[in-house]
Amino acid sequence: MAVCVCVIGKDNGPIYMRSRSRADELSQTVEHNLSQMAFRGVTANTELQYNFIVSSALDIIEERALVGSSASGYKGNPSLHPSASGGAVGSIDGQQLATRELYLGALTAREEYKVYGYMTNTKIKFVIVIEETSIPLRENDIRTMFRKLHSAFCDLMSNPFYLPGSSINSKRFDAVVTSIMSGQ
Amino acid sequence: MRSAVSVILSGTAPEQNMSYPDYSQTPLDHQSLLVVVRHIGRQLRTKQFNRAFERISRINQLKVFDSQNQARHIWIRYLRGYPQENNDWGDFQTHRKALGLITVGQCNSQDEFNELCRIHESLKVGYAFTLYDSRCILFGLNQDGTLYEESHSSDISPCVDPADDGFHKKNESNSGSPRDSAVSSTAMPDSLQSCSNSGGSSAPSSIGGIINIPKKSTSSDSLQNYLETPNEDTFDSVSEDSSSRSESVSATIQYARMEQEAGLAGGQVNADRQSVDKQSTEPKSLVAPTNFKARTLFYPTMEHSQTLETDIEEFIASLFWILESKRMDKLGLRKADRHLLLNSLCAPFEKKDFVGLDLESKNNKRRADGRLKKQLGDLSLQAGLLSEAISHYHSAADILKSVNDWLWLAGALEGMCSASVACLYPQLRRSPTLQRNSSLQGSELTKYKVAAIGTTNSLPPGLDPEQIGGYKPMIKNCLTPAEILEKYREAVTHYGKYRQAGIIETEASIKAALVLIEQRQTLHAADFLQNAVFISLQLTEDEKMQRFNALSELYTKVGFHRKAAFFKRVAAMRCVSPHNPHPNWALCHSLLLQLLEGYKLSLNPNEISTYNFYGWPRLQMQVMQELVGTAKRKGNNALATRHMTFLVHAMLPHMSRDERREFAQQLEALSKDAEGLPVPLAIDNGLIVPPVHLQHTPSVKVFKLVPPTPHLKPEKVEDKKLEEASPFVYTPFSAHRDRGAKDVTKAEFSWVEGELCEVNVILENPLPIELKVSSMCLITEGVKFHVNSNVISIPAESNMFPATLTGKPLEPGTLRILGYSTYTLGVKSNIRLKNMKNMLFPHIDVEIVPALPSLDVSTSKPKSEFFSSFSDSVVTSASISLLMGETQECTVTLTNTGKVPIEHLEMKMDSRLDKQILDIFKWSEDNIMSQLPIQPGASASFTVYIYGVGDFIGQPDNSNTVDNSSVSSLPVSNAPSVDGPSSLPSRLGAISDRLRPKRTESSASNRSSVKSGGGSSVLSFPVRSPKVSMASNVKNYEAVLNLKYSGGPGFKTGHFRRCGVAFNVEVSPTLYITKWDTLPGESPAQFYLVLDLWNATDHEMEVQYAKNKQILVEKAESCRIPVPVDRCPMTNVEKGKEEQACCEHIVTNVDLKWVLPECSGKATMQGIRLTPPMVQLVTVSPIHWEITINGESVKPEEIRFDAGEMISVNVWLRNHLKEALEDLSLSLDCFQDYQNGRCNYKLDSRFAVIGNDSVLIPEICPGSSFQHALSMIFFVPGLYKVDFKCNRKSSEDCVWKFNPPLDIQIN
Repeated sequence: MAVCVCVIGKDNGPIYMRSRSRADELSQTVEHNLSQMAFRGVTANTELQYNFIVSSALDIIEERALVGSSASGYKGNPSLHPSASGGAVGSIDGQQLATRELYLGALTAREEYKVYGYMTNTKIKFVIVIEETSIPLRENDIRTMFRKLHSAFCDLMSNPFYLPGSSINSKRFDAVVTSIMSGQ
Repeated sequence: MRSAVSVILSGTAPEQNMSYPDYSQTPLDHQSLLVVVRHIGRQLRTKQFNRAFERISRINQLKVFDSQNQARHIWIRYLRGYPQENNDWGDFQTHRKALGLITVGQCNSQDEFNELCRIHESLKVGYAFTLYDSRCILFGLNQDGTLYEESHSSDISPCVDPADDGFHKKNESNSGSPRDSAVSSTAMPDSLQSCSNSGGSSAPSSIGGIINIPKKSTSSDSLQNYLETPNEDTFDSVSEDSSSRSESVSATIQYARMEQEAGLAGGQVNADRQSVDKQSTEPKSLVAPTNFKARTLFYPTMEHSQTLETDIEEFIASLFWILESKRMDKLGLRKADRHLLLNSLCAPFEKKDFVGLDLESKNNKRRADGRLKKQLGDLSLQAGLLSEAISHYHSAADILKSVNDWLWLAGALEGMCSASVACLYPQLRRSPTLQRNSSLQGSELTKYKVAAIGTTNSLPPGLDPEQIGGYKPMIKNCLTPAEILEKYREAVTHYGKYRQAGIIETEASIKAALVLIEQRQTLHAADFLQNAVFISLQLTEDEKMQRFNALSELYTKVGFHRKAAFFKRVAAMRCVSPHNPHPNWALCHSLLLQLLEGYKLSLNPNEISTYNFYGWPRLQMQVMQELVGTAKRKGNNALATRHMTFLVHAMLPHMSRDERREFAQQLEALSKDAEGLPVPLAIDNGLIVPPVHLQHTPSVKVFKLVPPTPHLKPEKVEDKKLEEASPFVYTPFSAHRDRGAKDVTKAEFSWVEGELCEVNVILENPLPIELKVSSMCLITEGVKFHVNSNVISIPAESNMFPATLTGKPLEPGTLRILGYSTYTLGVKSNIRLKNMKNMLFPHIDVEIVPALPSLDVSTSKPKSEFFSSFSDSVVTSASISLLMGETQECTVTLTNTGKVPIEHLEMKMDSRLDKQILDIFKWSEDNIMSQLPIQPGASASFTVYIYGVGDFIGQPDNSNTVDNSSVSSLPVSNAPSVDGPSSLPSRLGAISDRLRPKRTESSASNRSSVKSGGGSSVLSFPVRSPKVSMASNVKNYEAVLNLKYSGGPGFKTGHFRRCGVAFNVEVSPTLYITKWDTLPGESPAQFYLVLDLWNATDHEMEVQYAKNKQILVEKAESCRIPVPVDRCPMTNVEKGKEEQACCEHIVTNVDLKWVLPECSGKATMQGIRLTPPMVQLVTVSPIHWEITINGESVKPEEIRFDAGEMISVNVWLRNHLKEALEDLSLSLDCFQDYQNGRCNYKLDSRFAVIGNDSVLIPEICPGSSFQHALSMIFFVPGLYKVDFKCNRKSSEDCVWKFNPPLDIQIN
């Protein structure tokens, strides 16, 4: 279940941020997930929490994107990839692919959240935070979410009144995000 | 052993865990010998100790030649403190053992010396099991142990409590140049010697092989029996705390180190201890020290300690030899037995679990073997034998894997990685050692450094990690970079199976991350770090804080600045978490300050641009809020205010409406405790927080200097030379160049000293509350400027609030306006123009001219409601209504309202009319000049005479009013054709055509049309109300009386001011002369000028046109009057200008005076034109006629004769001219005038002439006359006229007639 959807602009500033804030989830997740992270002072503020998560994930997006692009330009030496694919610490970093893929995969894995990233060719980043539930989401579902988000974003960009890079304030986009977050 | 064992093992004994991870470890530290350097005694100041420590730590590498004469590179790691718990893991990884101890202190007396020795010994106890050797460095003593001052005191002072010492350590310094040469082989025996000496009784035992079992037990006993052990413990922990606290700010957390000294038995410690006691009680033995002589290094002062480095090298060498001997011992052990396993081959927490196990089983034996191999690997690595170490590790890993001893397997793998890293990436060592490294392995290093220069931390595309490291398998079995990553993963995974090994795992993760950073595989490095985050450790809040801080540093190294900032913040929150019994707000604050960069925040507001906002506003705001909170809790109110100010300033664009209100109110509340001042604030840790200026609350949208009003604008007498520099009248190029080169920051006007100057600003209040700016004023530099401060209250969210900033310059010069200052929300801000986004210039310069007077002008006439603005310095106006030909007076009063007298005054009448103005306005210049100077407050006055000019000659045509009106005003300057006697001025079609479209335009544009008229004196004037039938004839004249005045200091510098009085003169028509003609007068000396007068007024008008002759003209009616005028004597008149002369003659002689009920005036004949026949009439002819008939001179009346009667006529012609008239012909014409415009000249049969009817006159000399006589006989009665003509032969047209012709009545 997606709990947070964020669109990040070219200059790494957020242009859209939406998170679910249900009080019960909130207290539970924060207690659980961040007990070791000294977050008690600000437990009440989940939205802020998501902000932090997404912002930290940006670091990895940048690196991923870089590796992805370099891999696309460079197909020769395979020695890098075996070394990369022997992952033990839980990321799907194996497939940095010949063609630059927009989908960046899981960025961080926490106990309660998984953060997935997606970057368009224009360096607009989408980040979706997924709450781990009993029913694990398949990779394909995540990709579908991102595709939906991307097409909604394309629609938004087609609006002549939208200034690229400004924060998004669109009912249609909101609706799409709502549908993503409600899992439809 | 099965994995179940590990589970069991891991279940208990948390107390045997290491206290906390050493985050500063690198993989290369596996190679190093650990030496603890401690500061003892109070005499040595901390700074001095730091210097000494620095000197010591420079010796971190030593080249020693072993027994085979092969070079060994020994690395040393110095730590200022090391927890014993970590030391206990020394068997698992030998580099964790503290091998050496160096204490540094200063003593000035015997008892101090004793005390220091005691402390040294007590410190040694902590690392008793691992310490190989120790040194005590003392300053203040000569080499021979005598006091530097040569004063040995032998008395015993009371010993200082050791715990006390721990709290108050003061240091003294050592200085000296680093010496990095390896100890020569010749020095080696000495060092060995000294080592054995220093070891004292322990030296032999350390070399001995089978010492372990008894020693261990005794030592532990002795440790427990040791009296001061508890004290020592507290001492250690306290010092750790203090050091970590002080250093955590700079984010370099130093931990204590372990030393291992198996060779030093507990008994020895006791012995030492006893000897110390002995010494303290028996001072004499200290003067000639026995025990301490060997291990104490005396230096007089820091400056006199050149041998320090050598001594330390010697000490290191001794450590090496002991290590080497131990390695040889282990190497000699082919098989590990159970004792060995128990005593030196198990991790601290494992000990318990071996109880009751069958240690003799095959499995366990293999395990012991594997562990022994692993330890051998560790020792070899430390002893500088890389390849040997790797092979040991490999075999250890093989054995341990087979017996499922995961912990030690992991250790072996990690060791393998460390050895490989030491081989591949020697540059991983901390920066101070870089120099030394480069001398050793320069080529790889430089190669690496070149490759490392890049913008990103990640690998450049197409580059392999192997290539980067300058991968050369110098050593067999050395792991490739990719293998290192794998092995580390494996090791960490295995470590993860043991909860007690959490710290080891953490450290391994960090080390792996460091290696990966070096390989520039940041994502993998991040993985390892992330793993480290999730390792659960039991730590105090403080330690947790340090952990997060260390993680943050590592993430920074990875290049993940956001993540680093995140952890920094977590660390900061740890400092003040509710679980923390001692919240440390200051530390929290300083940590928060460090994370700002990660969130792209800078406390310097100048570095933030709202256009280029970069970062995550939501988080930035959160962090800023936290900064405010911590600063407040810290007790630094000023800082809290500053942070809050910054928050409001920088984050304003990202705040919601509510947040704006809330933060603004918070700021107001905070600033009540400490108002925000525009000065940099220094925080405790030396950071300077720059001032924050509230630029956006309110924000200034427009900042404009107000030029003085035109009439107060000072001007300077200009040099004309500049303009003459170019031969071109106008060139666009130079004009543009001038504009470009002009100083744009310079205002185009000047202000005047002592007068109020204004700057207009338009303010915007972005806050949803009313913003009260309690003081707003200008910031200037340059000349003295008295600034008035304004109190402004800007309504909530208003965005166009005008305000005016004022000030008064107090002296002449250049005033530079830099910005403005505000005081609002309790914060004083100075906003510079250069920081304002919509200001183009960093400052504005205004010239301040010296004081000038100012003039107030008033007139006696009413102000006009309208005057054109062709001069902008007009201060007042006068409206005058005149009738054509009328004269009025207007008094102008000048009052000096300035502070300096008016010493100079120039007046000039400016108008678009060139010449007529001079006719209209007249004043006496001398009258005004005599009234100068006008003192401040005084006034002067003068009179302007205004005459209503106008063209009386003309014809207002009712049918085409507008058109003709303009025509009538056209002076017909050079129209050659005048047709007929009714000589109306013909209009110049071309000009009038040109004028016609312009007529309805405003007067301002007419000026240009006048100019385009090619300099003709054509006047165009606005016709304001064409509906009035006669309005066409109402003419408006506008003129400005320009006053240029100056005085006081400004006059001396050539400045002046101008002001103007606008005159609006309205001239109504009175009288028009629509037609005119000339008639012969009653006498030849006179002629009649017959005029058709037309009264254009609404009143009956009396016109006096000659002496005692007047006529009443009804309104809008015309009448014809004959004006007798003397003829114009044509003397002194050039040829061809006769007409002009005649006109002038008429103008001057004809005096028409009109009288209306209220006023009167004169009409002039200006503009009259004459045809040549008229001119003839007007002029006095050159020939004077004298005619007698029958002897009687003729009169202008009929003469009666009878038919047939002879009439004798005598004609005299007299020349009036000064020259002779030649070739004249005189003739006579007789005709009959039918009075109907026809004349009959054919009178051949009706009369006869006796004599010549025409005669040629050769010459009439000037003054002389010519006589001609003839007779006439008329045959038929009737009325005849006789015309005498005289014309010049040469020119037919020049005819003089006798006027009027003779009238002869024949009966």
